[in-house]
Amino acid sequence: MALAVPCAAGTPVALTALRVGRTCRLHEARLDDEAVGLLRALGLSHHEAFRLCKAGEPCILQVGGTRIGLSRKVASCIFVIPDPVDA
Amino acid sequence: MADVRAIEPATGQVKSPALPVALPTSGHVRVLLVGNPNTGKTTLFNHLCGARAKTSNFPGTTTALRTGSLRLPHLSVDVLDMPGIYDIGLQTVEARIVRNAMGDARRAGDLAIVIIDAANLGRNLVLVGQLLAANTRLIVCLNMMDVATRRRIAINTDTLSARLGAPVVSMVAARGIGIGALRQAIDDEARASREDRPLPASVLPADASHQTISIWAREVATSVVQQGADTGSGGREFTERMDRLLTHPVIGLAVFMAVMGGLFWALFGLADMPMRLIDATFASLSGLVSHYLPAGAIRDLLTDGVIGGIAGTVVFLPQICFLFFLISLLEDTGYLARAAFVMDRFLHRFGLPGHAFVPLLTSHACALPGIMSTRLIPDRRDRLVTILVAPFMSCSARLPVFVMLTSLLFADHPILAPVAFAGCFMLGAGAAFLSALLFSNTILKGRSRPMILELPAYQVPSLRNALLTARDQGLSFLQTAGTVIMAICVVMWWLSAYPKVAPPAEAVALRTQAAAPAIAPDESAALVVRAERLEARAQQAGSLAGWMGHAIQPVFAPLGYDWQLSAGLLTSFLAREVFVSTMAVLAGSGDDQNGVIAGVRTMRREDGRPVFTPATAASALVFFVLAMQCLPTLAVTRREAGGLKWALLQLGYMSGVAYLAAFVTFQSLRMWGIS
Repeated sequence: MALAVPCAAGTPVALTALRVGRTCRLHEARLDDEAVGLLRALGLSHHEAFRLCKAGEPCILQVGGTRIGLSRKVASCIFVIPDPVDA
Repeated sequence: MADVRAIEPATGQVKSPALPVALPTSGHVRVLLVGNPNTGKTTLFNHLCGARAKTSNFPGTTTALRTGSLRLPHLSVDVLDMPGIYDIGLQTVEARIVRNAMGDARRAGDLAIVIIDAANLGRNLVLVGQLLAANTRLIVCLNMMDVATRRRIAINTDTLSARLGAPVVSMVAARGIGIGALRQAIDDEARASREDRPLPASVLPADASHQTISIWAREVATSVVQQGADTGSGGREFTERMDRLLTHPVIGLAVFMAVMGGLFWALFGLADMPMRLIDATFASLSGLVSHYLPAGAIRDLLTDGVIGGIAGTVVFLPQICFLFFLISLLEDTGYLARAAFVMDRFLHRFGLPGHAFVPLLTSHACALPGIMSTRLIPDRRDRLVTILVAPFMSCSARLPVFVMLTSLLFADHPILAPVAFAGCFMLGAGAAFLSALLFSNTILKGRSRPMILELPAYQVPSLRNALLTARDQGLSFLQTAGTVIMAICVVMWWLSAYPKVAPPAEAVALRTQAAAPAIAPDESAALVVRAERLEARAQQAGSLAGWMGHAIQPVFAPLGYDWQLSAGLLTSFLAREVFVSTMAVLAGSGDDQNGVIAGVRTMRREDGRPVFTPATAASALVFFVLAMQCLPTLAVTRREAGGLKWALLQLGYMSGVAYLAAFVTFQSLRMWGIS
């Protein structure tokens, strides 16, 4: 299943292509239902801006007060829209 | 008093009855503790009940449903500690358990205490919203207020309570702050429930979508939180620096190896003395029984079967308790979630998840706690694969066998013996990884689940929680040891002890000689010892186990084994280390290691050839590296995997691999002229 969100501004990029320190919002997660559900439960939704703290293996995100670690494989399936403020 | 109720790890089904505590009657209510992982839920449970449960920083570790009781002035309360979940709608084992329990609770008019992280209100309120939409009577515990205060987060609890339509209690569960207020809130809400006072109209409709609830949660959080000037950047920088170091491909691996090396060094160091103490205690007990009971079947059954069987299992208890104590400390620090990523890079290639590193490493000490610690692994497929391959890791019980066989193989090569010794460990680990790959591509098809983990904040570990965890796991292990394992031990003893065999003529002659009045006491004692060894050897040879050794010898003939070695394999099915003592008995040698090796080296087959040629010893060594020679492990596999079929598969597969590898070793060496 994929979580798709209309992209009003900016071009979606894979999370793996994002620079460390950038904030962004979720555009699409090309993962199975279980993984998408878990990401959503951890706070990763298109409403919530998050920051890329570390790239590579693992990829680490700060979503609100939650720090999430993702394997590179998962990160490569997540597409985000960089925050226009710091884009 | 706490009661630990098992949830079938394999299926996630709570063993019948679904909830272990009876529905509330007059003066008696039931409370369910619910919350996200890492919010201090189990710490709160321990404070409320004085009971014992596990608190974890590693998502998904709560796989047992714990119940405790709380006495309030006017009523008694049963408290159930539910698994930590992020979202009640997820299709995970934990979410399913909580969904079922909450359904029961709603129908029975029970209370739910939702414990939430005050420093992460937006995300935690989603779960609160889901429970409110389901019309559950709630008390909300705003935990970790100290962390929120440090981050300059001020929460208006009155407004929050009004927005939720439920009482809100601020607390710092780790320090016991707010427990009194919570007890009062439970008392009030329980009374409201018993008086059938209606719940305030739910703030969310029953069919509210996840998106609706998320938006509501964020809006509520924004309306009640006042964020001061952020002074937490120092803490964030520390966390980010630590994360970069601990998950670095090189530095992270080095730290991981140092931490695990330290853990196992401490484990062996700490467990050694209590293990000796247990050994000595059971030996004394056995001596007492031998002293007071007349010789005969009952005495033998008690000393060698029951006491010997219990001792052989309970002796592992210190290792299990210390291991879980140390793992709990590590979990509390927040390190294990980072380490899982370090190992995931390697283990993923073999169809194993990063979480599997703790069980696999633990299995080097003993497969029993190793298999028990697979509860750390959230996915069932991943857990089953890890359970099946964990016993390939060379455990401490294999060490005496490795020492004996490598000493026989390389008696004159002091450098090669330790190399072969290390090779045994590598062979075991290699077999585990390749087997995991095989299982992942056949009966347990699929790749390990890609890692998505919450990385908990770094913190000072709780000694109290670690002690309680060690106690819980120790008791859980003893429950298994006290039933299946002891019964199996008694059967194996009986096979080795019956039928009784008449003492051989040589032993009778030695005893007669020892009884002669002219002989010195020391010399007499030595003769008696020699006579006892001969009698034990004759008993082994004539026992059912010995008879079976003869019977199965043709099966092991292609591996180069005679009936004595076959009997050794058979008796060591109980536990690997029994092989050394069986060979010592058959060789008629002393009990100390050097005496055993010297004695075994001189053992002869019926045709006069040595029992242990280089090819035979190498074949036996390979067999013992790979074979499943441990009944307690099978009993634990059956319980943790959720069925006898997994234990039988493990036994059949490992025995097959061991046989095949030992066969190839023996025949290859013979082809190269080494016999």
